[in-house]
Amino acid sequence: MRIEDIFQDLPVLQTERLRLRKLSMHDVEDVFAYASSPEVARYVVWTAHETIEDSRTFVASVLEQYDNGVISPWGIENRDNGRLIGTCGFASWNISHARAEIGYALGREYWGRGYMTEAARHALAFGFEHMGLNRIQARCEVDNVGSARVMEKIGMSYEGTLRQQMFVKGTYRDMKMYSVLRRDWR
Amino acid sequence: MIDDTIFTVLPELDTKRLHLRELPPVAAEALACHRPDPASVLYFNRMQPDHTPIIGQAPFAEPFGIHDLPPWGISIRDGSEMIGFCAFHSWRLRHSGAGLVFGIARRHRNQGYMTETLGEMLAFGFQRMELKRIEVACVAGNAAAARVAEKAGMREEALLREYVRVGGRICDLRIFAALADEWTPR
Repeated sequence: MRIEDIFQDLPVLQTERLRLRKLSMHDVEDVFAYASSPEVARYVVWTAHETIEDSRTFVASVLEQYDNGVISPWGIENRDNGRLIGTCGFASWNISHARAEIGYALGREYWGRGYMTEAARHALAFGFEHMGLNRIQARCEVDNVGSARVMEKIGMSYEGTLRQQMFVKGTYRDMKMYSVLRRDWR
Repeated sequence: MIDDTIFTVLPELDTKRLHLRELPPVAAEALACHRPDPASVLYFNRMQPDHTPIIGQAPFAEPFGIHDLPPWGISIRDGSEMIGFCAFHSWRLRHSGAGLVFGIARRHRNQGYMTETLGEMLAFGFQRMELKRIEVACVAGNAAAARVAEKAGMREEALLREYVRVGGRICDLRIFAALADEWTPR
């Protein structure tokens, strides 16, 4: 298994309400709509987009990842109206240890309605079924309650808090580690 | 400021009973081949399957990359015999974090040498590498290594399930960490 075997051509995943598919340049405005929110950017490594140019740069960088067959996220499309409402996907993949990490971001008005859980569940299934993973992990800051809840709802268990593990936007952050193992996943 | 002389050659360090000096590549090889007792070597993320550490990658090509320092060899003062080694690995410059790996020949165990070495490593990491967080990861069954981390003042933070494959076996990792914020020079 090689990284490009999967990421050379990231397939579309259809869920009940969502479509996980590659981002495209047509999504720039939708990306700006959610990524310009300080609330959405609060717990992620990137800063809130200030101009549409920031969103264009972001989408272009993801398109380049697709082209290079490296690890890259899905865009999350709301099937109701075709709008792009966030991203979800693998952030790192260690093939020799059969483990990977997922990460995600979602537009503010979609929080608390199970969208992220729905998307992340399908990402997990994809990881266990197509990437040969044994362990999928996710991390969030200690006070990011919403993200921790998603991790729990998709069947992950809390493993501990890694203190001051990440330096993000000027401060050292304590990160909670969650994971789900293949044998516990259904 | 990070003491950047350490990028050219590791400084020699003295503790009460020990002398630490950069292992010349030949000695590193000898130590790896010698490997009298794999159980005495901490297993970490980037260790190779034969229990030899990944040593001295081309340093600092990327200013925000992840780097390993070459290992120090440990000898008892006034003696020439190398009894063990220790090394910083996975130095994440952006996040001011790094891991420590160490090992000692079986006949020199239980005399506090490794704890003494780790104390010196913490001082070096916090003062000269400007680290905020220093981490030790050991396979869950390696009680000796865990004890050393504890005795050196590190706090246990997490149990990462099925995190590494070691020679066909999949192992949990116990994570210990010391923080600059909590550390007091001796």
